[in-house]
This record gives sequence, C-alpha cells and structure tokens, in this order.
Amino acid sequence: MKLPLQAWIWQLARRDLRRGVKPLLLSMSSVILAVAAVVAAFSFRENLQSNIQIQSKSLLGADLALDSREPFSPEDEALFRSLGGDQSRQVGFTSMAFFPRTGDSRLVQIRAISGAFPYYGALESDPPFSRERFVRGANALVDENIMLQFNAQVGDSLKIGEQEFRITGKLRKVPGESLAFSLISPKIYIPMAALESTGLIQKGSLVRHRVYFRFAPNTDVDRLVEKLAPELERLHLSADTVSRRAQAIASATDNLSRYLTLAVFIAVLLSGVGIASAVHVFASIKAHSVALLRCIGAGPEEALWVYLIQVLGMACFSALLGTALGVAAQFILPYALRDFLPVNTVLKIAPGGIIAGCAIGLGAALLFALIPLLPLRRISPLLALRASVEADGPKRDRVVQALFVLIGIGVWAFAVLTTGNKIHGSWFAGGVLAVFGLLLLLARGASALMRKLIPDYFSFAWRQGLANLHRPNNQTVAVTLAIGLGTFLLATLYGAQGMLINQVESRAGTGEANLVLFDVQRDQREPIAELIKAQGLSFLGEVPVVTMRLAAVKGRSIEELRADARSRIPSWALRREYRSSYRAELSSTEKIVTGVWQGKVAADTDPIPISIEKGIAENLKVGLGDELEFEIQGVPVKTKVTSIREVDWQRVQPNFFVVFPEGPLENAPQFYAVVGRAESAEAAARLQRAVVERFGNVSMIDLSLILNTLNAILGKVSAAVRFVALFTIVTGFAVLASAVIGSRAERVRESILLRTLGAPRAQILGVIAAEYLFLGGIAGAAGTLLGVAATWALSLYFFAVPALIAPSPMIIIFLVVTAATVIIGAVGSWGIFQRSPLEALRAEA
Amino acid sequence: MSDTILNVEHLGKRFKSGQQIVDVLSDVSFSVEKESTCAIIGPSGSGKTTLIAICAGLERPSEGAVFLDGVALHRCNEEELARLRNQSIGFVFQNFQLLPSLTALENVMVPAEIRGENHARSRASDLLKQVGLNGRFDHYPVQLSGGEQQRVAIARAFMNEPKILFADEPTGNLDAETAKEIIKLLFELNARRGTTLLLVTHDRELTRQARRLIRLRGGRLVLDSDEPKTKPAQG
Repeated sequence: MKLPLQAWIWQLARRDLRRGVKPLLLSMSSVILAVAAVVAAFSFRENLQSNIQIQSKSLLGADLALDSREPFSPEDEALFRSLGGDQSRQVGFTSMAFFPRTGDSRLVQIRAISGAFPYYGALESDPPFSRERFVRGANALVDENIMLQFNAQVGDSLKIGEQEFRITGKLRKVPGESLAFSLISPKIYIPMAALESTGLIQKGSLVRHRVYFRFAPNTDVDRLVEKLAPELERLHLSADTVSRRAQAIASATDNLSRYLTLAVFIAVLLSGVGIASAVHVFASIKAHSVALLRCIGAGPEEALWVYLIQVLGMACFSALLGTALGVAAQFILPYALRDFLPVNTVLKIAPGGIIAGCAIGLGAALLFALIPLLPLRRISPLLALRASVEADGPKRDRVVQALFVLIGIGVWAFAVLTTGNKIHGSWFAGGVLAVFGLLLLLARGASALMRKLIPDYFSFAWRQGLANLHRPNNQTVAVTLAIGLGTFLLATLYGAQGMLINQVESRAGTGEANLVLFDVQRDQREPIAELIKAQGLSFLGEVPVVTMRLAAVKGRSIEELRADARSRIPSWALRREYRSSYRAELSSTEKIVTGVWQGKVAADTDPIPISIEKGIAENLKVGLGDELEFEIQGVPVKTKVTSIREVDWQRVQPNFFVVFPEGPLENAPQFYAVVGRAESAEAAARLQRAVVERFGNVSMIDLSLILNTLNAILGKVSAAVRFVALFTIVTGFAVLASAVIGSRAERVRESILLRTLGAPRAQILGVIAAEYLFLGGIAGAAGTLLGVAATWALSLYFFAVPALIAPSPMIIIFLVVTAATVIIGAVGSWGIFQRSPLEALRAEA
Repeated sequence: MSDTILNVEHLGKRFKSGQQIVDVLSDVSFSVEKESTCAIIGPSGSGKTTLIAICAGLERPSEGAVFLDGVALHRCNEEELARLRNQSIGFVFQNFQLLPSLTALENVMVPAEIRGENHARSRASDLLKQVGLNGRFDHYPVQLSGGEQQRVAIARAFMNEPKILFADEPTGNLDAETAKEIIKLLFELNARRGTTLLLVTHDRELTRQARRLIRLRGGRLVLDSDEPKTKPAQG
C-alpha cells in the first residue's frame, strides 16, 4: 500500500472530521480502555520488580538465615560463632492458641524471637512494635486476621501451652510474607524468654530453629554460603539469603504479574472487538463517500487513506488518554492485590511499562480497526450510481484474512512472552481464541436460527426484535462477544470457587471423621478419649505417629544423593522429617496399588516391610523391593518396600507417606493423633475449648477450620481475580454501550417509520426490549455455558476432583447479565421518541 | 484529428443473478462526437445506467470495447481509470452525491485537489458563482435544497474542465421548476466550455434539448437519431 503523500488526502481527512467525530468516538472508548489496561499492568509489573530489588533486604529481614529441624548442636553453635555479625534467634512451631475472654482457640504458627530481628524492614503492628516493651514479660504479637476472627483486642490475654500471654499488638506484616498466606498459617510472635514456660517444646515436637545474621556492609553473603555449603550439608542446616529470597519472591510475584498481564490482555482483545464493531459502523457511513471519491478520480488506496488517517489519529489520541488513565489505574492495583504482595509497593511512573503498554494497546487497536476499514479500498465507484454493488475483486479479501492470521499470531506471541513458556502460552492463546471462536459461532448460530425459527404466533414486537438480530449491520456478534466473555470469566470464577468449597463441604454429612487432635502424648490418650465421649462426640480411633528421617535410599546415603547432581530425587523428599505410623490394617482412605500389605511382623524383623504412598514413591524413585533406611532418634531402621498405596488426601484424618506393620515400632518414641466426629461446628468448638484448657500441647483441626480457611483464602483470591476480571467486564460493557449507540441511528429510523405507520410507543419499546433481551440472553447463556464447561475442565484436569458445579450461581449470573443488557439497551435508546420524526430525520441525515 | 470523443464497439454486459445469466447490454455500438450533446433514453431496466457506467470506466464490459478520447478503457487498470476520471470525465448524479462533511466550496474543490492543484479555491468560487450559489460557499449539503445541491454537483463536475460529462438522471430528484433551471444551467455551462454531454434521462425537456438521441430497449440499441436506419429490437 502506497503512503499518503498527497496533500489532498490529509486535507480531506481533516475537513471530514469537522462535522463531528461521533462515529469515531464510539471506538475511542475501547481504545482508551485497552491502552489503560495494558499500561496499568505493565507499569505495575515494572514497579513491583523494582520494589522487590530495592526492598530485597527487608524480604528476609537479615543478610542470612540458617534453619534446622532440630535444636542447634554445639557444632552448629560453633559455626555460628565463627560467622560473627549480629545474630538473632527464632523458634517456630505449630500449636493451639486459646483466647480465654471469648473461649475461642485456633491452630497457629508460634514464633519465639530473640535479638534485634528484623534487621531490615519491620514487624508492622498496631500499635507500632516496641522491642523493649515486647521482651519485658509474656507479651504476644497476634496476627490481625485472628484478632478479627475472634474479636480479640490489644490487652486481652492469650494462652499458649501452659503460659498465659498478654496481646500487645495486632500483627499486620512480617518481612517477606504476604497477608494472604497468613490465612493458612496465622502467626503469633512471643519473646524467646517465654518459650520454655509454654511447655510445648518437647522431644519429638516438630520445631524449626532459625538463626538470623546481619554482617558488615559489602559482605558477599552468597559467596560465603557457597563456601559453607558442604559444612551446612553435613550439619543438616539450610541457608536462605537475600538474593535467594528476592529471587523466590520475584518469581512468585512475577507469576502474579504475568497473570495480571494475561488477564488484561483478554480485555485488550475484547476492546479490539469493540473497536472493530465501531469502525465497521464508521466505514458503513463512509462507503458512499468513498464511492464518490473513486468516481471523481481518487485511486482505491487514496480513498481508503482519507479515513484510515482519521482512525489512526483517533487511535493515537485515545492511546494518550488511555496511557494517562493506565498510569493512574496502576495506583489502584496495589490496593486490590495488597494481600498477595510481600513488599510495600511504592509506585512511580514506569517509562518501560508505559511504552510497552501503549505500543501493545495501540497496536492491537489498529489491527482490529483495519479489519472493517480495509474493505473500503474495494468499494466500487458504481456505488455512487446504484444502491448496492458487489465489491471489486474476489469475494474473499486476502489482506483481511492475513490480518486475522496476524492477530492470531500476535495473541500467541504475547501469551508465550508473558508466560515465558511456549506450551503454557500456546494453551492460553488457544483457550482465548477458542472462547472467542465459540462465542462467535454461538452468536452466528443463534442469529441464523432466529431467521428460520421465529414463530408466527409471536407478537409483532417480538418478531421485529428478533429480526433485528440478523438485520444488516446488526451488532449481535459484537455484543455476544463483549457480554459473553465477561460472563464466561465470572461463571468460571464462581464455578471454580464453589466447586472447591463443595469438595470440602460435602464431607460434612457423610459420617466420616471431621476432626483430628494431634501431638497427643501417650499418657493423654485415655483422658482425651474420655473427654471426647463425655462431650457427646464420636471417638473414631487413635493413630500412633513416629517421627523419623531418611538415612539412605537403595543403599545410597542421603548426603551422597544430595551431592549427586544427576539424582532426580527432590531435596525436600530427602531432608524432610517423616511422620510415619504403624497398624495392622489399611485405613478407609487407602488402597493398595501394587505389592502385598503386611499388617503384623515380629518386632525384630529386619528389614521391616513397609507400605509407601504412591506420590512419595515416585519422588524417591523407589519401587517394590527397594530398601530405605530411616533414623529414629539416632537409631537406624532398615526397611523394604513391600506395597505401594494410593491415599485419599482430601479426607479429614491422618494419612501417612510411610506405614509400618505392627510389631517393630511399639517401643519407639511416639505421640498420637486422635480422630473423631462432631455433628455440629458448635460441638467441635466446645471440644476444642476443653482440649486447649486441659491439654495445652494438643492441637486440633476440624472441618469448619478447613472450610473457614478455604473460604477466606478463596474469598481473597477470587476478590483479586474479580478485580482483574473487572477490566474485561468494564470493557465488555463499554463495547455493549458502543454497540447500542452505534445502532441508534438505525433504531431512530425504524422508530420513525413505525410511528409513521401507526405503531404506539409501547410497541416500539417492546421491539427494543425484545432485541436486547435476546441479545443478553444469548450472550449470557453462551458465557455461562462456556463457564460451566471451563469449570468442569478445571476440576478434572487441573484440580483433579469430581466436578460438583452448583447451579444457582450460574443461574444468577445469567439473569443479572441479561437484565443488565436490557437496561443498557433501554438507556441507550432513550430519547428516540422525544423528537418529531421530521426533526429526527433531518438531524440524522 | 478525430472528432470522436467516445467510441463504443459491440458492447455487451452480462450479470449472474442466482443461477441465471442476465444480458443487460447486447451488441451496442455507437460513437459520440466532441462537443455534442447526447441523451440516452429507454424504459427502466433497459441498461442505460450500465451503459454510461461502462463508458465512464466505472464498470468493465463483458465483451466489446470502449474508447474514450482514444484510450481503450477495457485495457486500463484501476489506477489508470481513476486518473482518466479525474482528468477527462465529469459526473452529475441523480442523488447529487455531495460529500456531507464538506462545504459547498470544498465539495467543488475536491477533483482539483485530487489532481494536486494548489489554486483550486478561486476557480471553485468562480464556478459556484456561475451556478448561482454566491454566498452559499460555506454551507453544508444538509443546509442546501435539492436544487442547490445539484448546482454544487454540476460545479464540481466542471471543475477539472472535463472533455466529457456524464449525467445520470440529473433532474430525477427535482421538481419540474427546479429541473428546468438545472437543465438550463447544464446546457449553458456545457456550451460555454465545449464539453461533450452524455446524459441518461426520462426528462422530456432534456431529451428535447439534446442534439442526439439514443434509445435502448432490452439492452439493445434500438434507435440512434444519428442513424436513421436503426430498427427497434425484435421481441
């Protein structure tokens, strides 16, 4: 295509705009939204990564952290002394926290601290954290979420184990941790000096010991850790540095940013549909002018350039407005996503983000605008002579076809670049294009059906309204895509959320165990069993738990395996503390996949036959007949895999990676998990209160806790997802509004004609209502059905759970979307009766 | 030098309508001299508009040839035809076909601006005065009556001093009184500028004023007032 070098093209483009930019205004809103969304996402991403780098030290709170699952040995202490610097200690474990004022209790993460940690960043609390006050006595900083949940106040007392504490502050933020994840594991900080008095640190307790270091500035901590690696390995110490933590967090937040970028890209594609739809209306208006220009000597491309320049100008101007809006919008994103951000996000103008966002938004806008605009070059000059003429050239416009291919490639390339993975990107692009394609198919199919199937007994208003769905220049496709896509996202979101909740809720009434007490000592078994029965609950049994570590796999020591770069066994599987059990029979949550279950053997059997869970067997790369050596409190125990089990991890009861037969472990150090059932949440809460009061070391999980936690997390996740989906939904409504306004002229003409022929207003309104009712209904139904299909696919292939989709949220979404479409259509058509037909005809001419 | 401005030789045009082939024009041949005025008449559907569309290079024939000022239209590509339309042809349409977003003056200027002319404004002003629209330069088409719009269209048609002017029912949308004025204007300007005028019309006055008459029926030339031996079509 030749460049528009002739002055007359630019002059004509400018003059033509004088009579109003209304036809182009419709597409402006879509371009503004598209550019704003992408600029906001890109700028936010750039700022977030920058903040992570700037605040990297506060992500760890120190220069180095060393962790152990056991109390530090004298050798460990000698190493710490040799490293020097400022040091702080932390001991972390899970336990029940009891609020005497309200009688509530909950499983929490206790962290006992000493020293000046955090050295960078702060423990943010209300009132502000004061270390001097904190260490003077049995004080506690309690997670804000729990305070809210149990209506606890600063100053209230709190019991952990045997010790009562005073709540001195609401904990808001911990360096490097996001608020959302505290929902799963809320934290309570206590002074290290008060730890022993809780009586909770006993032999076998699952405790994490940590030491924090602050070194002199310019200390190369990464090199230091590299040098110490063999020593750390030998001492079973794991290291966390600022750079590792920053990398991990950057990677996690990068996933968040990628998701945000992908989500707004869907909004961009949708705006593209709106732009194409509005420019199509614009092109239809200009078709006769193009024909005339061709008659008086303009070449086909010259005539096209007149209007292409206008669209380009509009797009660039809208992109500027969109950029300003996007820069402003990125300041809202941290509020919507704050629960998931581990850093305080300080935002500023991000030039890279602006340029990238603007380029992508504008590029997408132009590609979509060209689709209806390019056919103008094929307008025959004969159109000036005749009412309708076929376009010049072959029926299929290859350039427009190439444009569609270019858009498809653009979508794929963007998805691959954003996800950083060809396969994921391809799936995303394929999914998005498939949804668009299906909605388009449904729109066209519905439109074609309307043409064939409108019954004669329908009233005139209904028949006319339905006929408008397939009249020339109808907006059916644009509206279906716009509304359908937003509906699809909402339906998938609510469907997935509801399905996950249903998975857990469905356990409630099945007679199965719905509470587990763990860390029960040997001498506490009988009293707890009696307590359960005395409270009128069902006691379903007790399970012994023996903690042990792996020492060797198939004859190779753990140290050897961890040092072997070719070993494909993940490090966590080798280092973790295994909590195993022993029993004579399989539990109801287990099924033997291969091998033979052995329930009882002699106490001195060597090697001991064990049953191992399928997933961990795959991780450890072991099968039937392979030998594993464990270490129980320093005592080596040789075992042989004689069966592999499949475990239903979703059931509320203790499940184990490794199960021994009865016989060899009865005398090993152990504690117990007790399993029961409460018929109501209140009964479970009463038991929990009684257990915490009498047995401070015993923790309890019940189904209501799981449900509440899941609800809270899913609530936060879905709120954030909904906020991001809002871009698409707002864009969808903008496209709908644009489509309504774009068809207004047609509607005015129709109304004038009908009024001239004697139709009352109510009947004309009926036509409009019928048209939008069907549009909204088709779009809402299409989006909802696709959402149900997506939820089904997610449940089967992603979450691997049965698809239990609740119908009521879907029905509500469908009804709300249809109603909203009718309302917008009615509002957009407001005023078509207020002018006389003659006045309206003159104005619309 | 030849006096013929337009030469039509065995022109035929067919369209496909569904499964049927429709012969809109069949074996039409005639020539038009420079500076002459020729009216093409015939019943509705006889192929009049198709004929002038082909003669003006807006349509391609299915068979035959058209030579306009010595240029074989059937051998030109679209760019060449556009240039020819700009430089040698003027158009007046039944429904005026003014650009709605341009003023009267700007509408007249467009053909000259397409050609790259820098001084189109003064010539366009003159032409508008000649068609009696002094004082309406800055009015938009929606602000003009039908007759005034057609005057603007006529001024535009003459802007590039065309060798031949095609008019398709130029008075078709006008009342009798206005139509008379437009006809007078058209012929006056035509005589003054020495343009060949080829018009399609049902208007008797126009028919009367044209020197030559060509009648079409069923896509065939049945009467050419310059050819006394022309017979009506059979069947």
